[in-house]
Amino acid sequence: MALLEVKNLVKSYTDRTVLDGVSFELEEGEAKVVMGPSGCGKSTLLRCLNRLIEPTSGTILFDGQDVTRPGVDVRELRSRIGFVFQNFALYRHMSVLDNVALALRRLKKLPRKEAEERAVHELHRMEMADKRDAYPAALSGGQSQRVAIARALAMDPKVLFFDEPTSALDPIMVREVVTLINRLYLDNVTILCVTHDLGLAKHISDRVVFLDRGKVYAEDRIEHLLARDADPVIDEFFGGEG
Amino acid sequence: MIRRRKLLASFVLGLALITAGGCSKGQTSKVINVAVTPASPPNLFEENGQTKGLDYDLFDGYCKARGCTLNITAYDFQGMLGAVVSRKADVAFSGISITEPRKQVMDFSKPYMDNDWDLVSMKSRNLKLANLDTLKNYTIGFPRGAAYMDFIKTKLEPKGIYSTDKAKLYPSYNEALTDLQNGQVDLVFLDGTVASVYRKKLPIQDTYVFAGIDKLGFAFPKGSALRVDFDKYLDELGPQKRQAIIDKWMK
Amino acid sequence: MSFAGILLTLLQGAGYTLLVTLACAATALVVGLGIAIARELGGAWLSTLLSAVVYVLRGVPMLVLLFIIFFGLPGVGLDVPPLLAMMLSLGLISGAYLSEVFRGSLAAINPNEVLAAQSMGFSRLATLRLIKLPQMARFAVPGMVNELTTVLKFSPFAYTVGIPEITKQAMALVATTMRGIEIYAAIGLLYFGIYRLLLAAVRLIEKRYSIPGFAQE
Repeated sequence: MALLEVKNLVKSYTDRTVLDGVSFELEEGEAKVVMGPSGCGKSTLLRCLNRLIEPTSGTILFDGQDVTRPGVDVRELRSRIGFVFQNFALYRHMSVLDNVALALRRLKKLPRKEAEERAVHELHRMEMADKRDAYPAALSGGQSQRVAIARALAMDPKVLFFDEPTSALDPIMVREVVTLINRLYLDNVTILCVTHDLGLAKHISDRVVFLDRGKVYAEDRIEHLLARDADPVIDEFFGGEG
Repeated sequence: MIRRRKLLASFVLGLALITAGGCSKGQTSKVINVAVTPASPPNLFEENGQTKGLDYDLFDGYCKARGCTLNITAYDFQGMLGAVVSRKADVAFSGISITEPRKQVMDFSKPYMDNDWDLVSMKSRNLKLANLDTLKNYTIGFPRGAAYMDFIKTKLEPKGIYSTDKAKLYPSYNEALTDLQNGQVDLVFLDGTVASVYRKKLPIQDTYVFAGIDKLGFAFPKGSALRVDFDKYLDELGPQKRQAIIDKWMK
Repeated sequence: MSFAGILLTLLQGAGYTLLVTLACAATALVVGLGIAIARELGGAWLSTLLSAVVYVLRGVPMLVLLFIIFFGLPGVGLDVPPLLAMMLSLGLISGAYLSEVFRGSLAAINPNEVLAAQSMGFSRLATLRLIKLPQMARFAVPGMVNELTTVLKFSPFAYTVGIPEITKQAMALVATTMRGIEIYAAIGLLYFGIYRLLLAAVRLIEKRYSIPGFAQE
């Protein structure tokens, strides 16, 4: 059984429908990318999965549990999902170490010493341990990215969500992130990544879910998608790459 | 952050309790709450942190005779009257004139002295009025809440001698006299008693005197038993001793 | 009496001025924080109610409210001591202004940081406590200093309800010495001195909690 099963997810507002029956699955250890033109609903999709946005209808099965039914402990669900935001969203009034340790101390209620040890361990993994006492304002984009990932991993989540991880980075940093994500993938971290960066999709994904106007237009390996240049929608988005 | 906020909250609470508790505690000897305005010499003023004056001597004599202690709070003139009306003070005195409107909201003791009202001006202007015909050409200043306002309204305005909107109001005599010296106001209404003091300190002179127009009294909340007892004391004191005290301050 | 003598006499009121200022500032802080937090956690109707309260309080002249509380309430049987009356008027009104400062400060917080906290699984209350309030406090410092200064400048009204602060000392002194100019100059100096004292204290606190690079975007 897949780690994440999305069945017919719908999100509509009074004036428009953003997600119009999205279905896909994410296996444990898989790295999946969700791509599509602006307004296709990919960011909304991510936020529906941890119920930051409430879905209008549809089913989401996470780790065997239906998380869309009423009575689900949403906060507990969210603590099992690591979310890395587009602009990293580090808590600017806390040091790097405190950023990573915060959830461990306040949610898992670990004593300070133990929380900080785990945090340092995660920072080490991201090669940011030497910046533990720095504040977010002093970090570069790439560094902030690593801390954000460390912070997301600290809670030992079942899956890591990335929302446009490379849009705020220069090409050198992008390559670093790619290396990082692949390292995580090899560590068997399950990854769901929303992006419009084709290079990123090429280098980290097993499969790509292509969204168009709220619907899953296609799902396949990236090479196969790129080969379908006869398809007008796909061709328009990827623009003759491949 | 939480600890600091709790600290703050308990500090505020503590402060409130202190201020609430500190005011109405019963003590062994009877405490009388007094409201004064220490800006009306020689009736009531402050020197080196001590309350002094003619009115103070009279009431202090009463307290010594009856065995009580005075708890004195200073206000501006209106605040002092307000304190006695709202019963925050048991008595108020600072050269307060007995007037009809005031009698509606507070009780007065028997009059303890007669008072002139002096309209004073700067000596340099050499202003003397034989009568009130030209009064309306001048601005008059005096403290807000003082009896002059009512006098102008009920006695002068109907005769067309003066009108209340020409008057300039101040928090106390100090400010009125300062404006007088600055030339911002022509005349200042002073109590005869107050005038006797300031005439020695400032280059002012009487422009017109309303002689014997006014009687001073000690002000009490309505229905005050203290007032009845104080009137009794004034009778016990007798007119000669009372005049002696007045003369001491008025010389 | 020399100028130094005047200053010394006036200084006797300085303790009360500080007491009134700090008491009213503390009240304002509690009220302002209370309103800001209630708005964050409460529902729409509570927010609307609080907005109305703040709106009214910001429009009431402080002296009027003070007189209503101190001289008016005894008429309905409520006897309010002078310092409490000051706290309920100056403190309350200043608290209303502070709540607006806090509202602006909360709006300056990066909403993604709040989203990140929620995505981690923090409750609204926890997010408020751990992320929003610490940042709000730092953004609000200039506004809070402003309010503190305003409270200091309104503290002389305490004299009207019988608290013997600096202005009262001045009036009593002027009545006996008639040296108005010197006395008012001395008061000016004293208030300025107290203002700088308070500022220095605030700077100390600010330094203790400052975060490098916090205000950059």
